[in-house]
Amino acid sequence: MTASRKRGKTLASAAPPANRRPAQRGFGEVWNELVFAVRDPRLASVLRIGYGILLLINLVMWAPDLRLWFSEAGLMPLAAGREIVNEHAPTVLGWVSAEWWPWLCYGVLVAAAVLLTVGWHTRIQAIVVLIGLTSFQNRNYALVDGEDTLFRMFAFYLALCPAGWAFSLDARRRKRRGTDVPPPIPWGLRLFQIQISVTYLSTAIEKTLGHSDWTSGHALYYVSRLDDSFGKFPVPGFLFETLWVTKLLTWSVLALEWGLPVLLWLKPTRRVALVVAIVFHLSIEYAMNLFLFHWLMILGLLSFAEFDELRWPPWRKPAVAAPSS
Amino acid sequence: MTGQTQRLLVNAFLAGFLAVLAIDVFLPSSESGEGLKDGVNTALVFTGLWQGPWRLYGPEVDKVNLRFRAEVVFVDQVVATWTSPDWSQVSALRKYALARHMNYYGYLLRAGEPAFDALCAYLAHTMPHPQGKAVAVLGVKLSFRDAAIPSPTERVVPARPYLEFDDWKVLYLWKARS
Repeated sequence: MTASRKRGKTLASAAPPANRRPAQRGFGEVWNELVFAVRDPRLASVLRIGYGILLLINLVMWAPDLRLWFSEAGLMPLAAGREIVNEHAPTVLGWVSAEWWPWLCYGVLVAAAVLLTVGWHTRIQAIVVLIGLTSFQNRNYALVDGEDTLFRMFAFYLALCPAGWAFSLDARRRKRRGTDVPPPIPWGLRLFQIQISVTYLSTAIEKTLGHSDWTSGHALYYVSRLDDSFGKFPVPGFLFETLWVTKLLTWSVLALEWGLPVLLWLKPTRRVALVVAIVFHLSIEYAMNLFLFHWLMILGLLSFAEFDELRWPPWRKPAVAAPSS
Repeated sequence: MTGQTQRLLVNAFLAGFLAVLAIDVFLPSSESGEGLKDGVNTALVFTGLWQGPWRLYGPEVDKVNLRFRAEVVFVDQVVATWTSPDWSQVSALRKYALARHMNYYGYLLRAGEPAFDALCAYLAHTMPHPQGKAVAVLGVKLSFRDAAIPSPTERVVPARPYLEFDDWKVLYLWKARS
């Protein structure tokens, strides 16, 4: 049975009896069906690999400036760093003041990122990555933006997913031992979905409440004149010089951010919403310099897909495979 | 552990986590909810799971382009000048490599005196004397200037980096500790 055909069934029980109408189901039943739906756990492994690659790109970009950002000889000595971050924010980088300490911490984090990507003791690596990222971000909060929050949250969610189930050294070890383990229920994938929905909904609320540049339709007018984050690749000038077009674009962003948290969860609209959301992020990625934020959002969006839908080209027939591989 | 127990534990975790997430992300700061939010906030910050509300250029987008300048004054009164990158002249690929630098300069004004002091101290230690002499640094004057993008209701400016900067304003004066 393919994963997509299994979608909607729960861990302990099969589909509800045919003579019971959905309206008769209680909240608990609906909840359990949602959380414990049988999904192909290989999807969690795909997210793990994608996450690992993005994390490694992020870490490689830190390397040339590690001393500048995280050492006592750099732009943010520990004492200054502590003044701009929450007093409870922990960082292992403050434990030792030696010049080599940030490099050792960095080495451990890179090693954990590599091992997470190849799936060696996956859960442990995800937790080490979470601790490492938290430490580096708390050490110099001036560098942190939304993508760093996603990096941390996704590491936590990966630790709760069967992310090492497939395409991993953990899976190879399991096969070699010949242990016949039933495929796990990847309930942790729901956390990715919730995170993506929360991100859209929260920003929609922030942008809509009160009189803002988003409700007035002027937000993208300003964004398109910023010299750092905007202007990655050429964009037709009329989009941001004709005011009604700019307003339409601005309101479209707002409409998407309100609509996606709902449409991504509904069966009839899920696929279309997923494609629209991915195109939306790719468009911003084309126009703006926001490093890895949009790639992380796209990765999170993939948690709304089923493993069999992640094939290229999309019209190729899905492989019929048990999710235990 | 039985499947039923496992399911109960997962549900308990999810109920707690979702409640905390909702408080963290959606509960606005107010006096009545401050204690609850503070408690949740502390726990989340400590565990590395804090996220707060997602603004993503909201509710108000950035409307200024910024430049920073530091004048490093040496004991012999010679001045070496440092400026932050002119982002309008930086290629997309280079901006990708300098993403953290963009974050740093974007946050610098909000970071305030601890960050100004650290930047000045760093420049005092790293800026070479213009004539290559081994002379100590006396002090550093950190300034900034901004180009505030005019409102489209007043004037629609061309869709390219807005670079009509105001005059330099002094941000911080740093003196070498003797």
